[in-house]
Formats: sequence, C-alpha cells, structure tokens
Amino acid sequence: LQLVQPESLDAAAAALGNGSVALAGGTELVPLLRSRLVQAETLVDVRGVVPRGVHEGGSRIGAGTTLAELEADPEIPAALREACALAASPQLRSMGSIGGNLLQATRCWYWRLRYPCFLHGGSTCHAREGAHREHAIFGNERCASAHPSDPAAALLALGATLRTDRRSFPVADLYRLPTEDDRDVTALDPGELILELELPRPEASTYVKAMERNRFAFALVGVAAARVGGETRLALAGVAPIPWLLADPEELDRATPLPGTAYKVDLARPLVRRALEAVA
Amino acid sequence: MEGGIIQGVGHTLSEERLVDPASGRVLTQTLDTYKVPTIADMPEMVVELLDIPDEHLTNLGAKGLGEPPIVPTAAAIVNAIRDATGADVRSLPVTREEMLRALAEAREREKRLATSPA
Repeated sequence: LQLVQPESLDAAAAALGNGSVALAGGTELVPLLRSRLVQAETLVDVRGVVPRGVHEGGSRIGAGTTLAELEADPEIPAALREACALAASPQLRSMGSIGGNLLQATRCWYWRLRYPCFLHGGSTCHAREGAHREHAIFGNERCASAHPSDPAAALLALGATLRTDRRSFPVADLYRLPTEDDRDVTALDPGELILELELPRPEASTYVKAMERNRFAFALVGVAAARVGGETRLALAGVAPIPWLLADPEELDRATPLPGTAYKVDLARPLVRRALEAVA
Repeated sequence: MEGGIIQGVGHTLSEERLVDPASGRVLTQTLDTYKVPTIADMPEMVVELLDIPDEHLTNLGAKGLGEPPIVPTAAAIVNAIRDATGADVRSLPVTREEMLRALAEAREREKRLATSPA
C-alpha cells in the first residue's frame, strides 16, 4: 500500500482513480481497508488540498473540517453542531472530516461481513429475512440497510449545498437508493472530491437521536429539523439506505418497516414531535 | 465490584450477541454492534464491602468477588423499570424495541383494569 500526499488539486485529481482512494481522517477508510471492503493500491492523502475551517459566519465549511471543530463552533447551526456532538466518540470526531462523514458506508452487519447481498451486487437482501433490528423503515425494498450519518441528516434538513472539484449540487442529490443497475448509494463520479459545504442561515434548527447507548452508538433514529426562510424541513438518520427527507410527520404512517424495525416508527414519532417543537 | 456492575449493566441494557438464522454466523462481531456500556451509561456506584472472612471457604478467609456483582444487576434494573413505569420487561437486553413493547403492554393492562368491574 502506497501513500501519496499531493500539494495541488490537479495533482490530487491525477492521483485518484485506478486503484487509489482518497484519505482524510481515516476513521472510515482504514477499518474498511482492514476488513477488505475497500481495496486500494494507493491512498491519496487529500488533507493538503481540501479546505478546512469555517468561514463567512458559518455559511461556508471546508469539507476537511473535523466533526470536533464543527461541534465547538458557535457560528455553526445547532442541528449540525448537535449531530456532530452526538456522533461517534471524541477521538473519532477529532480525526473524522465532515466530507468523509457524508460518504460513510452502512453499518449493516451483512454488508460489513461481506455477505453477497444486494448492496454488494447480489440478488437478495440478507437483512430482510435475517436479523434487522437496526435496519430501515423507508426505501428498503431492495436493500434494508440504514444510513449511519448524523451530520448528513442535519445538512439535509438545513438544505446545504455541496461544492466538489467539478460542480455544485444540493446535498439531497448526493444520495440515491441503490438500483438493479447501480448499487452505489452516492452520486459522486469516480475520483470526485467534496471540497466545501454551503449552509443557509436557519432561524432555528435541532438534532435529536435515539440510540441503544447514551454515547458512541449509531442512530436507531436520528431526527434533524430546520426552519429556513419560514419553511421547516425534517430529515432522518438511521431509517433508510440513505439520509431520508421526511415530507411531513404523517409520512411515518406510510413507512414500510420490516417486522423487526416496526418499533423504529414508534421511536421516530415523539422524536419528530420534539424536533418540530424545538424549531417552532 | 464496579467492573462487575458495569458488566451487569451491559448485558441488561445493550450487549447482545445476534446470530444470523440462516448461516449461524455471529453478526455482532465488532464494538459498534456489540455494545459494551460507555462511562456515560453508568450511574454513580456506591460500593460497601462487608469485612467478614469465611474460614470454611479458604484458609485465608478470602472470597471470590469478580462475578457476584454481575448477577443481581439485571434484576435490580428491570425491577426499577417496573417500579418507575409499570412495564414488565421479558427479555434481555432491554432494547428500545423491548421497552416500547413492555410499555404498550402495561398501558393495555391499565386500560383493562380501569374498565373492568370492581
């Protein structure tokens, strides 16, 4: 395994692709490499070229900013600060970058243990028939995995925009459900790098999270709410293969839980109510 | 003693070995899935040692201490849940799913009691 440390975006772009992957904090990539879920010949350390830090009163964030930096910055909207503070552990948050966090792979135990599941290119979702209490209640027809990122739900509710080395698009467009033709849950091109996030200024925002432990656990259900320009948006973590934009609280009545995830709908209702009250 | 209580809290509230019914493989192989308590999950622990040697057990009078505090912890927590909420928990660990089931059952029981003739 080779490590390269490019000093310009052009050099990074040239080094990416063809058996090489981008490395920032390493909290996601290193375990994936160890368990051979990601295979690479070259790691491209992008910390020298991806912006880091909070600018313009919290409305521009470098993708290399760590979760620890975001949770401690009073200019960052509350939903994102709280989502960062409730994610992982202090050690992981001081290494992990917000850009990398958005690209986290699912914690589905079947996917992690390399069962030949739908997400790995197979034809069945092992979780649907098997153990699935931490799995999805929405968008789970082909793959019942749950998206693990707390900050992604916050950014979705806030209506953030991503700027990559090639284009800008709403964070909602970063994610898509896996399909027969494409099992990827993110829409980045090969070698494309997230550089910056742009946030609107919300009037109010919050993030609340249910987990099986008080700290250091992935969300059973995470709920972000943000009121921006008089409009309130809800987004959920841990309930679908991708961060899930909830049109309204009643959408929970139309959830499609598995037998073992029906409780997540009941868990989500009071969290949604609490989040809406907090931003009202 | 404190370590034993922490282990008891773990198997009561969050630690569970899940097995895939089809393949028999253990699914909770890592510390993100097999959830050992963190310090944030622990209440204050007050340990009082009773200094009563048992000379019939060993020639120093000493007794084993590692495992005994694990044993009553589950019962203490589950009884506290019953005391605080009326919910009867039936399986360990007490996941959010089991807690919601037990609360719903307790509400049903309350309703039946309230409507049944005295």
